[in-house]
Amino acid sequence: MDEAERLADRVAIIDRGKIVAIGSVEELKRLVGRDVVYLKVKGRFKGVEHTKLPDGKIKVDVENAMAFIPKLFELASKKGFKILEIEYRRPTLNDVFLHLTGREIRDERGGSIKEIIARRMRAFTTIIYR
Amino acid sequence: MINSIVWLIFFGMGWSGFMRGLNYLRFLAPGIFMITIFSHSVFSGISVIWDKELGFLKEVLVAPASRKESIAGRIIGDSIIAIVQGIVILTLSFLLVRMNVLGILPSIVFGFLLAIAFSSLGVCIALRTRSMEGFQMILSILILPLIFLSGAIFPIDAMPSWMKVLAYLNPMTYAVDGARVYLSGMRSLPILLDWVILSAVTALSLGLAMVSFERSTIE
Amino acid sequence: MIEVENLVKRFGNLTALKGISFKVKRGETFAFLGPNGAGKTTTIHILTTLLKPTSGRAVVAGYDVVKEEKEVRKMIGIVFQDPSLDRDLTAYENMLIHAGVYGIKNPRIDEMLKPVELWDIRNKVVRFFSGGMQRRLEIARALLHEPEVLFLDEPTLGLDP
Ligand SMILES: Nc1ncnc2c1ncn2[C@@H]1O[C@H](COP(=O)(O)OP(=O)(O)O)[C@@H](O)[C@H]1O
Ligand SMILES: [Mg+2]
Repeated sequence: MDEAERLADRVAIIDRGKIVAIGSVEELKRLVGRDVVYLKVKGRFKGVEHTKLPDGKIKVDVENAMAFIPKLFELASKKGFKILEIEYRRPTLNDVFLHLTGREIRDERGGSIKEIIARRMRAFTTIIYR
Repeated sequence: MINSIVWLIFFGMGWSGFMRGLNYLRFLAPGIFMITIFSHSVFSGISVIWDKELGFLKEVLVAPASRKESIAGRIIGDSIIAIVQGIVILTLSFLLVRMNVLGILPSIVFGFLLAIAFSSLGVCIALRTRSMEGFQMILSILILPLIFLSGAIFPIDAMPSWMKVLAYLNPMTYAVDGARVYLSGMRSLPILLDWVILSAVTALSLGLAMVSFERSTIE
Repeated sequence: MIEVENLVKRFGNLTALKGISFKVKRGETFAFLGPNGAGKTTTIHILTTLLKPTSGRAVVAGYDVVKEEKEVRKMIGIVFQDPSLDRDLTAYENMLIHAGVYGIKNPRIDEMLKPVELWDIRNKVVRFFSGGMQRRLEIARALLHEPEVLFLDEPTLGLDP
């Protein structure tokens, strides 16, 4: 999985003998939707739509975390809060597979669907055209 | 090869005592020579199965080198080993029974043709077989009937007619008969017929093996 | 150019590939991702001329995989999902045989084996190699003839971390 994301210019997601999606890793992830940014701030966070989490962190749904983070710093200096921690999560290719096939994979070894797919999709097959 | 020696000494010498008029050992020796070559060469498909099971065959099949040449090389190499074993048995036979020395060379040529024919057939079977067990089972079914139906151990003339038909369909018959003509001076078929049929069958099976290997996939 | 159009492969009554199409441009790294049994290996085997497609068309490095299989074979290197070394030979001998069947006159075996840290044990019989060492040898071997297209079927399988 990680290797595929790092190495591949383009990825084809294949399921039961059919290609269900094809594109760059970024393009595929965009099919699933948004990145999530988690923040810890000092002061009052405002200026962007957000959710306060029980542990005090702030969750912001954005289209693209990489593009959002620079804007966040501008916002911080404008609105006068201090960023203590930034964490963001992007959808994985597992999330993409699940999103596209919508399939429940039963597995006798148990675990969440995501874990099972992660286990079964560790493998990837590559063509390098030099 | 040990088997061949056992056959030659115990079976050959044992029956010789029983059939006093006829020199059975002189009849049997060319037959054992061919049996030795035959039993080594049919197993040459084993290397193909082995490569298939261990995965090395994929490396061979995906390479641009000529597949026809590579399988022909393997068949000829195996045939040479078979011939060497045959020659050891033949040498031993000459110690036991008087035969025509001038017959050695043509008999070896007959033996080589036989080896190529059955190595090729072994390869063809191996390419169509999935497992070592399957291959060995097919061979174990074929080997004894082919030996008994070749005139190597008992003469074709004495067989019931339905068995004769099968014997004449067996390419080994012509190799045994040819070697017997040259080595022992015993004849049941025209020698030209032996040459023509064995050469034709050999060319055909080698061709078949080459084409089969050329077309083989890993399905 | 690698161009695959509507590739279908049936094994008896099981349809392993149900019409696969994609293109890979020169200089590109293209990955297949999917669960076991999705058809990744089958696709790779068709593109490397080891299986014939039931229908559809595939061109690899400009050559048709069915009609010009020999040309295709010259252009490609492959690391198979399952081991494909001759286990009775040494690492060096495996490389030499590969050089032989690919018609390489002066194979640069040292240049291939050093980066994968197998040069020092080149004279050891492959049978005694760990899974990861065998895998690295297969990768070195696949690169020996400098292929235009390299196929890696689950290359991380069995690789030591
Ligand atoms: N030689 C074969 N004979 C019959 N079925 C096969 C053969 N090879 C693969 N299959 C079947 O085709 C499907 C796709 O397999 P494969 O291409 O190996 O998937 P993957 O490499 O993505 O795990 C599977 O259902 C598998 O059982
Ligand atoms: Mg596979």
